[in-house]
Amino acid sequence: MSDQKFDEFFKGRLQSHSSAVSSDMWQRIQDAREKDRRRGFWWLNYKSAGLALIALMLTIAVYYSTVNSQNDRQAKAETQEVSTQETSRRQNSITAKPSLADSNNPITSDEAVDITTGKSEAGAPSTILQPDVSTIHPSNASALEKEPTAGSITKNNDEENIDLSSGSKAAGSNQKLNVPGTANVFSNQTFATREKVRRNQSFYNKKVDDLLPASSDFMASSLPLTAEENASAKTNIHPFIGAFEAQSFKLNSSKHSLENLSIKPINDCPSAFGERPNDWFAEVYFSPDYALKQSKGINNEYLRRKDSTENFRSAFTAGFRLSKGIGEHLLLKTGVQFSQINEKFTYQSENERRTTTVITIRTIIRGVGDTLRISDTSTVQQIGYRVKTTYNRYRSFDIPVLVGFEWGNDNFRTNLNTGLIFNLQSWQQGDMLDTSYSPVSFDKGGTQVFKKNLGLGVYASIAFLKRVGTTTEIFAEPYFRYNISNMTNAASPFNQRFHVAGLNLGVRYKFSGNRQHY
Amino acid sequence: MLFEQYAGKMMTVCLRYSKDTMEAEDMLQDAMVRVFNYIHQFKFEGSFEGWIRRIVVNTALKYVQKKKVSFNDIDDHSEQAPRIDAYAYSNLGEADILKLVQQLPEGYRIVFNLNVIEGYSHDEIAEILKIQPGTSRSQLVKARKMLQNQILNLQKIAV
Repeated sequence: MSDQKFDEFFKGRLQSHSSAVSSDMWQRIQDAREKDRRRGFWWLNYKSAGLALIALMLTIAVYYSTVNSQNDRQAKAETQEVSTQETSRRQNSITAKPSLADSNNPITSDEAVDITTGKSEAGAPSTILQPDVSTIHPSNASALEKEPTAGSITKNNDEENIDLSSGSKAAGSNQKLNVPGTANVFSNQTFATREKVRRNQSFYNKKVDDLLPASSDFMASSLPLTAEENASAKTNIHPFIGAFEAQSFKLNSSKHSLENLSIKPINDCPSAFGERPNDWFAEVYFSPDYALKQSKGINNEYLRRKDSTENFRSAFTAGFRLSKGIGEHLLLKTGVQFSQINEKFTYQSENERRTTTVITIRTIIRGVGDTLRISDTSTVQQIGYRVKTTYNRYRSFDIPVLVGFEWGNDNFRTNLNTGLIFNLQSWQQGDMLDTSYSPVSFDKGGTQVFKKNLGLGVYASIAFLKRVGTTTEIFAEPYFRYNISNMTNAASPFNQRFHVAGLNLGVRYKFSGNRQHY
Repeated sequence: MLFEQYAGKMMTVCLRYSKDTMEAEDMLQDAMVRVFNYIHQFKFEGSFEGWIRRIVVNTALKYVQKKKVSFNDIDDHSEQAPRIDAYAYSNLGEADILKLVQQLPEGYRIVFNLNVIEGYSHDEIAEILKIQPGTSRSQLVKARKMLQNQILNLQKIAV
């Protein structure tokens, strides 16, 4: 028997032979599958775990953003409230003066300037009548002008500058406080009134000093002043307070109102190491990539021929990441990204035969006058080669989970990142050589060659960030992604995976986290 | 049921590559787990049995690669293969033939299976087993010779 017959004999007898299988084999297979499932529980469910992580971080980001904005509003409201209280205190203190003045320096109702707020005391006809308003407006100034008063307060529109005379000056000049858009109520006071006020000046100044600590003056400067205050300021206000009030008036001279002037309290302290990275960042990036293909298989000749038909063309990655500071320098990052690798598949099939059918129709007119139509059918066979070109696409949708270490100054920062890339889904589309060296297609629906999930990848990068605005930075981030798993499945005649090197170019936005760091 | 339909045939494949039934069962278990894990990826682009068989053979080869089989020639002083009458083959059942294959030295057995049963060329076998193609050829020749000797011995016993 020849070797060939000998081989055929063995092949024929063993090819379709069935052997006995132990009865517990099915149970063993079930147990092994269950064991694999338990072991791979996390890896099988990391898609949902990754999505849950992103959802959690987004929720925390929205929560912190909301809390911060509420804190800002609350701080602003508290500032206004404190200022209002301060105004009230000032009013009370000023209101109290006449009573003190009554006891120490009695002012007769006929000639004294009553600086009480709102309601007039006994002898009201002789007091300066002030409208019960909180802010001085031109119309109110007019009202002041129209009211006949014992003090003869008149408007002086020409003088709108503020006299910031110090307290050491004479009482008369010290009281010369002109309110923009209002009457220069003091300049035209009668000499008797001025003298009366000047006598009480030292006492009132002292009281104001006691009642108004200097620390609160700055805050109070943003408040609207009542007409009474303005009136009192003309006679009794402390020069320091008057200076700030005057400054506020000057800043708002165009609007004739002080309400719009607010000084926001500083509640964000930089650390001793320079400006701290804020808690939350959003990054958007795009990267041109270069993919390194790694192929292995039991048939090197097949791999060589297959790889020779596939050439890298281009690749890119685009994504979005959220970052959370978890220390002085550490950042935790996650997000989503899309990657695509493009290859050109070129296959040249030799000895391609193309058969063309040619039909020739001729019309012959014979001598007898009839016409004869003749059609000849022939075939032409051409032998040559055919080139098949296809653009293969390898797409993947991933979740990066990274840890970053960042350092630098306000304008330029450096960031080292490392972590894992979890593949959510991958799609492949194009043509490739099969083991018989014929082109076969693989499409997005998946084949038995490629996996729908690429598994894990290891990511490492270094980012350089340049500040371009108060909350915005641009960055360049060279990176390398090493895929741990093959993109081909077990039944495939070869193993293949891509490792990607790229340069992320993007923008990082810093959320307005005002939490103070120490 | 899929398992019942193919388990017996695949067990034969595993027996051909293994030295005993226990190892063959381990191979079959691993291979069938793979089959069930990846069955959703089968696209009916070929024979389903062929697809399963390929997985089983690949699993068996992984076992072989783990064992690091040496492909040394066994000393055999006989110059040529023995001449065996044709009727001697007809008396052999599948189980006997399987046993004969299993009794081959490991290197001979793997090359014989890959070349004769699975149809791989010597170059492909050389790539798979990381040996020289010439080694594969010589292993096959010696495997045939050993099998023929064993069949001759069986014939003598029968007579």
